[in-house]
Amino acid sequence: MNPVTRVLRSTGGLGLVVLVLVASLPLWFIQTNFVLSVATLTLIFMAASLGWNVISGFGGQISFGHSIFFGLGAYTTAILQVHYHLNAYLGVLVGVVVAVALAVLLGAVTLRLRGIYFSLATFALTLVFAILTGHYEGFTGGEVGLTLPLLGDAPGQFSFENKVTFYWIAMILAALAFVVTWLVLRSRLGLQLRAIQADQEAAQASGVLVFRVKLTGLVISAVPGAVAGSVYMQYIGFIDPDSAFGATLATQIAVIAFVGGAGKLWGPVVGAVILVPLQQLLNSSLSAYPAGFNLVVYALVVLVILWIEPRGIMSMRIGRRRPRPPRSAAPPGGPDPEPASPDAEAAVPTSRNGG
Amino acid sequence: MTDTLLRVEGLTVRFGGLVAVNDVNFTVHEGELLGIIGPNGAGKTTMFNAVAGAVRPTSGTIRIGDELVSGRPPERVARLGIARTFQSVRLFKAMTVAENVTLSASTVCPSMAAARARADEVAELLGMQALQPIRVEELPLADQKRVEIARALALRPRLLLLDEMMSGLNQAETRDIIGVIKQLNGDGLTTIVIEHVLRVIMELSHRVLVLDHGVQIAEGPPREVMGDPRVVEAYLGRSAAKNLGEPA
Repeated sequence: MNPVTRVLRSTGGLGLVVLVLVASLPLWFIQTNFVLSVATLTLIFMAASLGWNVISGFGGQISFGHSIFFGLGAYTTAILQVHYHLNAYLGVLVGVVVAVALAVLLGAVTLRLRGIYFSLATFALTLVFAILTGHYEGFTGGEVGLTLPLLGDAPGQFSFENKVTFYWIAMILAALAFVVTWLVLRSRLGLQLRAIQADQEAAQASGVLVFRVKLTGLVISAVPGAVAGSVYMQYIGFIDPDSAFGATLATQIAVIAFVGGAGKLWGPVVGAVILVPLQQLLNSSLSAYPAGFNLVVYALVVLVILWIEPRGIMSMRIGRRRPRPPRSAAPPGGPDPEPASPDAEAAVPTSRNGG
Repeated sequence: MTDTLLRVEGLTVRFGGLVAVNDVNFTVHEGELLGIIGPNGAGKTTMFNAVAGAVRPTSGTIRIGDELVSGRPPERVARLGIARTFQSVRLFKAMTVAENVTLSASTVCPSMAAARARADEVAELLGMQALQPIRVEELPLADQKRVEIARALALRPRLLLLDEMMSGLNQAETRDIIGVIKQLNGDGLTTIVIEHVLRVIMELSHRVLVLDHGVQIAEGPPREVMGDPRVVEAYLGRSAAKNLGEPA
């Protein structure tokens, strides 16, 4: 079976509909710059959230600081371009290298610990970066931020007059991030990450090299975030400590995945398609109200979705054919590539333990 | 003619002031089936955990073949060929049977394809091919216990540690698991069994080790050990009612 049909089979077609909708957005509204910009940002944050899903969604090591990698990607390209006049594409690559190096360091220190320490450390670290970038003004522009030089139409320098180009770049980025997470999910690494999330001791007893698997997961997880940050930087042309390392972005990357379905292949895709446009709409439409009102509405929407289904939208039954006869065979969970065979039901012994 | 596979020397495990396992010495030969019994709190599971690497011994050494086991983390111990099951089933509940078994196979096989093949092989050996696509949480307890055995076997272990497999099972299911253990041991797999149900130990074991309050109080063939006055006093004296009360 080829990969495409496998994806479609394992996701019940819903994902395809979503993908087509997103892909065709700018074709419907191509004249509206607002929609194009929202669609581009959606894809950029989708990519970062897809990366988050590898270590946090599959591996259960919840990162509340994936903005670290996003911010490092953004600042690295910007600093190299502004201060050292390095080619922007090279800057993207260096950004990835820096993010990976930091992921290794962060993981080496925190991933041996269990429980909430990893989450706390990631959140603390992103705030530390916000302070550091705010402090070293000469280098990072401080609280004012860094602005890229206006280059006009210079494809060789990652600068395009036509903003549709950035839309397609973001689309390719999101698609690549999706393919990476899909490959991880199918691989040994994905299976072992899921096992660690389910029961770390049982995974160890089964020979899973827990630390190494988590570290590998974190490194892979950092890459889409770093590239997303670089592309964001080139697209927006401006970055400051809060939009790179602030608590809002830090939580947003995780919340997108939680709302869509953490650990589900399509979770970050669905989450981003709903939350990023919502956030942009609220920002622009509620700007007349007192500051923070848009965030309150945003938070309410997130809470309602998670109240209806704590495991996220991908776990909702709407529009999914999931028959559940009594004592039935397992319906395949989101990440399971193999659908249950129809004859499995008959094979389930009905005896319960006698006690 | 029988080679020693596992050698435990002077094994002591302390938790703060509590000595859970106190200077225990024993060996297990290739192909042997050793039973470990003792009243609740005798230190059986702690000793298992020490052998499996889940608990670090306070002192003493554990070796499998020539390799030192004690001091290594559990995942390394598993890769040295010591596979275990848990007293209360600890499977990856939301995953299918096939995924559970493939997971442990994946830690010793060169590729995922090889791991899947290994999982199929184990499923066939235990006659559970039909269960492969089912999520573990939807299986009855007896089948979950079989999946735990399958997951352990996928590691191609040299030594299998089974911790109270029969707890929670009815008579027919207990028979069934005894059959599986006998079959595996008959195929040459060295096994240590912790069991509360004496009847099971008597039927399965070549040799029995009795622990009481962390101390090894007897060791030998099952019939002999059961007649040992120290065992009768320490083990049967306190919990005879409970254990002899099991359905025979």
